[in-house]
Amino acid sequence: MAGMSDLRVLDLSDQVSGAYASRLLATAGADVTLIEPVDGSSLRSRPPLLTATEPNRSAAFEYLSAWKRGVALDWSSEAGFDALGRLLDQADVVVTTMAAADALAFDRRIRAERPPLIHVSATSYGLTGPWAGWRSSDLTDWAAGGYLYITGDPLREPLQGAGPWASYVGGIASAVGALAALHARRRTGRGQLVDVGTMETMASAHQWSLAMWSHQGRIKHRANNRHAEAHHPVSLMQVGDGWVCIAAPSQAQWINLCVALDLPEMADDPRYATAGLRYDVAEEIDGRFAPFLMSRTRTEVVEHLQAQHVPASAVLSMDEVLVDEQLEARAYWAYPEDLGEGVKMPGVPFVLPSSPTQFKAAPTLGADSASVLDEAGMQREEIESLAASGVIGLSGADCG
Amino acid sequence: MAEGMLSGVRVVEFGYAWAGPLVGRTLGDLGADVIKLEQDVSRGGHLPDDPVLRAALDDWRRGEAVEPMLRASVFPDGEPEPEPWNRAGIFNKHNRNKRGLCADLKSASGKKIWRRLVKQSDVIVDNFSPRGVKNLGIDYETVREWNPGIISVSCTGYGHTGPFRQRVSYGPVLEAHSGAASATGYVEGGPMKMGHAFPDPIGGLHGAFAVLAALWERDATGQGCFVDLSQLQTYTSVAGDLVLETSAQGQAPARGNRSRSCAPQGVYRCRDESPDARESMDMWIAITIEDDDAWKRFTILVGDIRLEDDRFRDTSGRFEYHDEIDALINEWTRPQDRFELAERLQAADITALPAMTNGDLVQSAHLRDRGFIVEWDQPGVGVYEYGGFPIHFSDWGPTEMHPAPQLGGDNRQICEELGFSVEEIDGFVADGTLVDQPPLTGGR
Repeated sequence: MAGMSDLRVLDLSDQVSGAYASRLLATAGADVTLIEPVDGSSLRSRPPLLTATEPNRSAAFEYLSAWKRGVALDWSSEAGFDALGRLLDQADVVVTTMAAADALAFDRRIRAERPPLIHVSATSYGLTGPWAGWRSSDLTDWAAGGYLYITGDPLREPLQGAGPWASYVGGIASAVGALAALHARRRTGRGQLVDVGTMETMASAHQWSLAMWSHQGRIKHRANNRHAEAHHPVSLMQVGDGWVCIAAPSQAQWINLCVALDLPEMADDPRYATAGLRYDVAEEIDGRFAPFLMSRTRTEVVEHLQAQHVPASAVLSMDEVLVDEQLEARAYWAYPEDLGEGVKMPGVPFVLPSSPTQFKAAPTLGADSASVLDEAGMQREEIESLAASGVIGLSGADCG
Repeated sequence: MAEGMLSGVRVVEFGYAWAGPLVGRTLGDLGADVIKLEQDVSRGGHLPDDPVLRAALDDWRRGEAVEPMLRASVFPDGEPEPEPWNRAGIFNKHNRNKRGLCADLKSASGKKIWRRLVKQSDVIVDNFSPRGVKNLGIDYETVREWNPGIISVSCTGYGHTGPFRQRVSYGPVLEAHSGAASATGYVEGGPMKMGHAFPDPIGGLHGAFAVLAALWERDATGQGCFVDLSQLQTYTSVAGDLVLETSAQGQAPARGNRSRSCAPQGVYRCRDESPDARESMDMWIAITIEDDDAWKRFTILVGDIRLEDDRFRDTSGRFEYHDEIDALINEWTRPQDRFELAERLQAADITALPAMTNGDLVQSAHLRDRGFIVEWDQPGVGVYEYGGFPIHFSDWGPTEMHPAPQLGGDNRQICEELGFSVEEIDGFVADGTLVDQPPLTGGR
C-alpha cells in the first residue's frame, strides 16, 4: 500500500490555514506542489516582509512553503484549467482557501471526473451557514473563535495573539481532515469534500468556557496574565531581569513552590488551600512572592523551581528562542540559506518515519512548473506553448 | 455504533489535562475505538472533608459566591455531588467518544491487563513527562517488545531528548518558553498570555495528525514507530513566520491589535450587555480595513465628516493618524449593538466581527446552522450542550456524540474483550487493580 511519500498534494491555497495544512503534510513526507498565479501567490507579499532581501520576501511565504514544489499556473483560462486538471488527475488531495461560493463551485467542477479526489477547503467560517460568505482577517479570526474576548486586560480592549495563530489552528485541523479522508478512502474508494472553518476549530480549542456557559450560564472574562479566573498561580510574574511563567495549580506543586520560595508557612495557610481560593487573593500572594522573585534572575528562578518539580519557564524573547539550548539540541531548526547566513526557521515540528531528512526551501516562482507538468505527461511543446501564452510561468528568465 | 472513518483502529489514550485527551477525542470523533486509561487519582478525589472548602461549597449552592476552582471544573449548575469525579463539565467535554478503563498499572494484575491491551491496540497516546512515561512502564521500548506494530505518540512539553527533557510544564509555561507570550501584548505593556492554555489544543491537534500519518505509513511498511512530539516545538511552529522574521531582521514584531499591512484595524467598544443577567459587561467588535476602497465604503457607512479627512485617504496616512481614527471609530461603535453592527459592516463588504464570548459561541446561529453545537446525555449529569467536531466531511454523516466514560465505567467490558474470564476480572476488582472510584481523602 501507498505510504506518505506516495501521496500527492496540490496546494492551491493563498491563506495561512491551507498553506500550513499542506506544509504539515510535506513535513510528514507527502509530495506537495504549490500552485500559484503566474504573477505569484498573494502569500508572497504577506507580512512579515524581510527587508534584507531584494525584492522583499515574505517570512510567512518562505516558512509556509518549505518542502513544497512550485508551479505558476493561471487556471482561470480554459487551457490553464485543463493543465490543472492533468495535475488533479494524479493528485490524492487538493487544498484550497478560496471563498465559500468559489470553493463549492470549484468542487463541483473537479469532482465528477475524479471521485477519489479529496478536496480540503480551509476557510474562516466554513462553506455553509449564515456567515459563510463573510469577510475575515487575522484579527476577526481571533474574534470569531472567542479567543479575542478572553485575552488581555479586563479593563482594556481585548487583545489578539501576535501572529495569525487562529488560521494556523484551522490549518492543523485541515491536515487532520485530509488524512482522515484518506483513511476513509481506503475503505470506500471515494474521495470527498472536507470543510474546515477556523472559527469552529478555535471554538473547539477552548479549555472549558463553552461548557461553562451551557452548564452554568457564566461568561468567561479576560484575566490578564493570570489563568482563566480559576487557578493561581498559573501566571506570568516579574522577576529581577524580566518575566517568568510559574504554574502550580495542584496541591503538591503549591507546597513545593512555597518551600522553594522560602515561604513554607504559606503552604499551611487555609486561605491558600486550593488553586481557586488562591486566585481570589492572587495580589496578596504575588506580593509575598515578590521579594524572592525580584532579587533573582529568570534563569535562577526557573532552575530553582524546576528542581522542585514546579512547572516554570522564562518568558523568552523571540531572539532568545532562536538560541534556546533545548530547541538546538533537538535539531529543530531549518536554515534557509537564501534568506541570509545563519537565518533560522522552525523545521519539521515532530519527526515521523516518513519525514524528510533534508531541508528544502520554498520554491521560487515557477521553479517546478516544467518538471511537474512533464511528470504529469505533458509534452515539451505543449509546456512551451502554455508558457508562451502566459498560462504558466517558468523559472529563470521566463519568470515575470 | 455506526461505522466511523477510523473504525477498526484501537487507541489507548493515557492523557491528562488537555493536550493528550484532545488527541484521543479527535480520533474518537473520527470513529476510532479510544480507550481512556486512567488511574484512580486521575480526576482528582472525593470532595475534601475540609471546613474551608465545605463553607465555600455552601456559598456556591446559595449562589452567594463562587469558589473559583469549582467554577473551572464546570459542574452542572454548580453542583458537584454526587460523584464529582463523574460530573465535571471540563472533563466530560474533553473525553466524549471514549471508553473508560481505570486500572493500577503497577500491580501484577495491572501489568497483565496493560500487556494485553498493548498487544490488541494500534496506537498509544500519552502526555506525561519522559520520567512519568518511564515510571508508568508505558514507554516505547517496553511496549514494542509486545507489539512491534504499535504506534506510540508521546506528547511531552519539551520532548524526550535535550537538556530540558525532564522539565515539567503546562501550556502557559510553553507559551512563555516559545516566545509567543513575549510577542503578544499591548503596545506599551509587557508580555501577555492567551485566555486559555493555547499550546494544549495546538499540541493535541498536531498529535492527532501525527497518529493519522503514522497509521498511514504503517499500512505501507508494517512498521510501528515512536513519535516524540514536543509541545514546545508544535507551539513554536505556529509562530514560524515570526521566528523567521526575528532571525532574519534581528528585531521582534510589534505588539498590539494593529495590522502590519493595512489601517485602520482595531477592537472597538460597543454597547455593554448583561448576557448572564448578573452584571453589565463590555462588548467589542473587531474591524479591519484592508485598502482604500474598503476605507471609502466604511466612511460612507459611518457618515462622519471627520473621517473623510484628506489625511486619512491612503494607507500610510491612516497608519500615521491611527490613534485619531481609532478614537472616532470608538465614538461611533460605542452605543451600537455589536451583532447588528457586524451585519451592517459585512453587508457593505467591510471586514468586521464581534469579539465572541463563550455564551455567543454556544448561541451562535451560524455555528448551530453548521451543526457545531451538539448535546449529549451524560450519565448522572443530564443533557447539556457542548462544542462539537470542527471538521465536516461530505461523505460521512455528522460526528456521533457518545458521553464521556464514568471513571472505570467500561472496566469489565474492556477486560472481557481482552479475553479475561469473569473470574479473572473479579480477581482484578478484588485485588484493587480495577477501580471505579477515586481514593478517599481525609483532608485537602
